[in-house]
Amino acid sequence: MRKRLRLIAEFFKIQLKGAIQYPLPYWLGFTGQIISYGSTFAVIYIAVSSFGELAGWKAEEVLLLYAFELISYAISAFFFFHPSTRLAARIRSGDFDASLTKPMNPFAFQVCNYGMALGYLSHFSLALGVMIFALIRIRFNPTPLNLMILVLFILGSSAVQGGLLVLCSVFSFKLLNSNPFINLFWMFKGFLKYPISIYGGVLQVILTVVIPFGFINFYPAQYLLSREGGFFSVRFGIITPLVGAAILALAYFLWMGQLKRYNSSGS
Amino acid sequence: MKTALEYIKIGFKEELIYRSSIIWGLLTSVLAMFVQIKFWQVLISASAISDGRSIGQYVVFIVINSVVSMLTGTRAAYMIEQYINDGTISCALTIPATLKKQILFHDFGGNLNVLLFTVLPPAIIMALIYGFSLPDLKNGLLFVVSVTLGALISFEVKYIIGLTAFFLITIWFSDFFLQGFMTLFGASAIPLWFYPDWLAKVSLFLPFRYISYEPILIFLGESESPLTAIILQLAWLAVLFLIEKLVWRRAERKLIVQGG
Repeated sequence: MRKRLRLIAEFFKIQLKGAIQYPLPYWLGFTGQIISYGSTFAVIYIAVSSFGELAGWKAEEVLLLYAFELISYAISAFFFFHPSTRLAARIRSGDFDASLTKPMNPFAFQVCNYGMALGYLSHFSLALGVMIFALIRIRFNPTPLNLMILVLFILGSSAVQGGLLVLCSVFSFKLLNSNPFINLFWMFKGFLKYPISIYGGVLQVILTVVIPFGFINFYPAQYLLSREGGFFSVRFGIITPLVGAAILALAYFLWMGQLKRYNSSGS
Repeated sequence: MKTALEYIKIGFKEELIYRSSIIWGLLTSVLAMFVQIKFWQVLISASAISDGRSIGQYVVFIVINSVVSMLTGTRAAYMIEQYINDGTISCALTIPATLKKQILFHDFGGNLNVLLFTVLPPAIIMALIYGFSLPDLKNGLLFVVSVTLGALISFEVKYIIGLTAFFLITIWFSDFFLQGFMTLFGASAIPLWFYPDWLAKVSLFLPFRYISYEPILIFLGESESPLTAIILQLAWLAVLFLIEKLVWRRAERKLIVQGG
């Protein structure tokens, strides 16, 4: 176990050195992300507060909702974004085959070698800042139990996003191209800026049962705010960590299962 | 002019290569418009404070914004970055058409294609479903002039940002800055009439609101003085043109070729 942790730390060091080597692009990218996401937060806040509320959600509550989406995206993308989105390209080029020769769990190798992208620190810090601001505004009571629920929710929703990213990439083994599914992932994320209760029943059921995007931010935020109005109960959010763990585990086993049947692209 | 037309044609045809990308583009733009329209619909209908505008006016806002930003998208920054990386910049510079012409007309051709197949069809359907307010003849004509100028400003801004690739070498982050500034100062997501005064004032000193926001106001008949808006657009275009020339002159001197 200790050996494994040391190994992961080594991979992390390599990523860190990469970022430090070219500080200007890193910090420009960091600033760019903050400006881009920051202005989205700002205009949502401006619009909702000028009308007072959006489907019963106050401006700071909508901020909390979107911050949930962004922070869990930051955490999941840190580990899984590049391993998932570029898997098809690596299979086509033959890089993936080379990585199979490494003495390590192949999935873990993908995450360690291609993941741990430090660029997502910008998303994380911005989302954390907005989240703290929103939590103070809604008078969140920081008891140990509430804080534990909050952390579990963040981890759970990160696992949902991460699991879905990995699930999209599983198709790369067969199709040698995961783009349609990654596109689908981005499309559905478009719904998450606002409470999904504004979209009507059918879409809500789809976003909960078929593709569980609702657990990325709507249900956990609804639980924390005890905000009525969705198609399902307010208490529904409590299962977020379970949903996250289930999706991530499913994604992992499907990934490993497809790898067993993998024939290489011949490159 | 003839070379420009050729570049437009090439760009247009290139977009036809991958049919599936048209379908994905269509789905994405339908969804993006749907989400935005729902957002405004819920805000307007459920709120006690009404701003007196109908959903049709917000549909105008959403559609014109997405058409202008789609039509003036350019990969200038990434193209220049790539040219510098692999050394093809030396070829690009010897072609008897300016780099600007090569990139912008090519991208414009591709954009026309995307506009035709993925943005306009859902926009028309949304407009039919949710209603669409049309301007009178005078405002309509002024709008055409203003939106053309807006598109030119957009191209000019994006091209100048693209040119900074000559100095920065890596530029993958340029879109984030652009997106942020367009959202905040160009009012591409939320109309400026909601903004707090100070923020709206800041936007007056930047070119971004003249890209699609001022044309939208003219279209809706809410512009206080369409002529002033158009004159300011012309002024911004002149300023940006000058900046472009200055940046270009420095870039020419600074040119680094990494490979090839």
